Amino acid sequence: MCEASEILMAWLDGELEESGAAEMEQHLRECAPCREQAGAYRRAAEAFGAYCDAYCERSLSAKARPQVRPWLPIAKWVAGIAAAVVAFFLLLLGAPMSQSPARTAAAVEVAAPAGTQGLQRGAGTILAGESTTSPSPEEAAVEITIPADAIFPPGAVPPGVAFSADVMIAPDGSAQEIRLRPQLAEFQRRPTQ
Amino acid sequence: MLFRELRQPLLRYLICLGLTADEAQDTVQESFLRLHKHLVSGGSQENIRGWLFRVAHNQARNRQDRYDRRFAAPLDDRCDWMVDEATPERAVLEKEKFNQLRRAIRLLTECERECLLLRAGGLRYREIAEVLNISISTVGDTVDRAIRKLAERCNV
Repeated sequence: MCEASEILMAWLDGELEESGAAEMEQHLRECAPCREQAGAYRRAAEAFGAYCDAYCERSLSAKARPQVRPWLPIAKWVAGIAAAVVAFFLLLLGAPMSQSPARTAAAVEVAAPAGTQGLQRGAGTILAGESTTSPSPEEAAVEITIPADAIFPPGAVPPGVAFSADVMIAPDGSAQEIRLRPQLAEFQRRPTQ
Repeated sequence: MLFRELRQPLLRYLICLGLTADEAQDTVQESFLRLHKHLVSGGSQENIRGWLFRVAHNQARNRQDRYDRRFAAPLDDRCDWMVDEATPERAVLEKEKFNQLRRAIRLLTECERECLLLRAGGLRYREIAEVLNISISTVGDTVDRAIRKLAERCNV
C-alpha cells in the first residue's frame, strides 16, 4: 500500500489543495491498488449515508405510526359489555321517570355558517314540532336551528361542521341536561332556510 | 431558505446520534431559534452551517447523560427494516450487507462516528473541526481511519 493512500479520503472529499489534488489524480492514473481503494472508500461512504438515511427514516416513521396495542380488541369487547350492563340498569331505573308528562325533549341544532344561507346573526328558526331524536313518543320535541355564528365567534366553526344538542327541559322550564354532539356528515340533512 | 436547506441534514445528524425523533425535532427548532438570535444580534454570518451543527451537537451532548446507552449505540438497533419491500433474494443480500455495516459502525470510536455523521451531513473538514472542537488535521485522520475500517470490514 503506497503512502498516497493516506490522503485518498481527503482527496475524495475535495479537501486537498489544488496542487495536491492534481498530484493525487496523476498518481491514481498510475496506481491500480489506489484506484481500487478509492472506489472502496467511496462505496463505504455511500453505504454509510444510506444507512443513516434508512435509520433516520425509520425513526421518523416509527414516531408517526401509532404503536400496535394487541389488547385493544379485547378492551373494546370489555367496554361494550360494560356499556350494555350499565345501559340495562339505567333503563330499569329510568323507566318510571319517563312517564312524567311534563318532561319535554328538545333537539337544538346549530347549523354551520354557510354563505348561501341568508340567516341573520342571532336569528333562530323553529323548524318542526317533532323530532326523530325524541326519547319517547309521548314527549313533544321542539327542534330549533340556530346559526353557528350567533353562538360562536366568526370563524370558530369551520363550514361543514354542525352541532346537534339534546336539551331536556324540566317542568319548571329549566334546562336539565344538555348534550352537544358535533355532526360532520349529516349537517345538511335538513334545510336551514 | 436556510432553514429548508439545513433542517433535514441537521435532523438526520441528531437522530443518528441517538436522539428520538421528538428530541431531534425539538433540538432542531431550538438551534434555529438560537441561530436567529445570533444573526439578529449581529453575530458572524460566516459558516452558518458549522455554527448550527455545533449548537445542535452541544444540545445533544447535554442530553447525553440521560440517553447515554442509546447515544453510545445509536445505529445498532432496528436493522431488519430496510429490506421489507425488496425481493427475497435481494433482501437476504441487502440484509447481510447492512448487518455487516452495522457491526462495523459499532466498532468505530465515538469521534470516528461523529466525524462520519457530520461529513455525511455535508460539512467540510473545517466545519467538522469546529463542531467537535478538534483540529482540521485530526478530522482528516479520523475520517480516513473510520472509512478505512468500514471499507475493510464491509467489503462493499
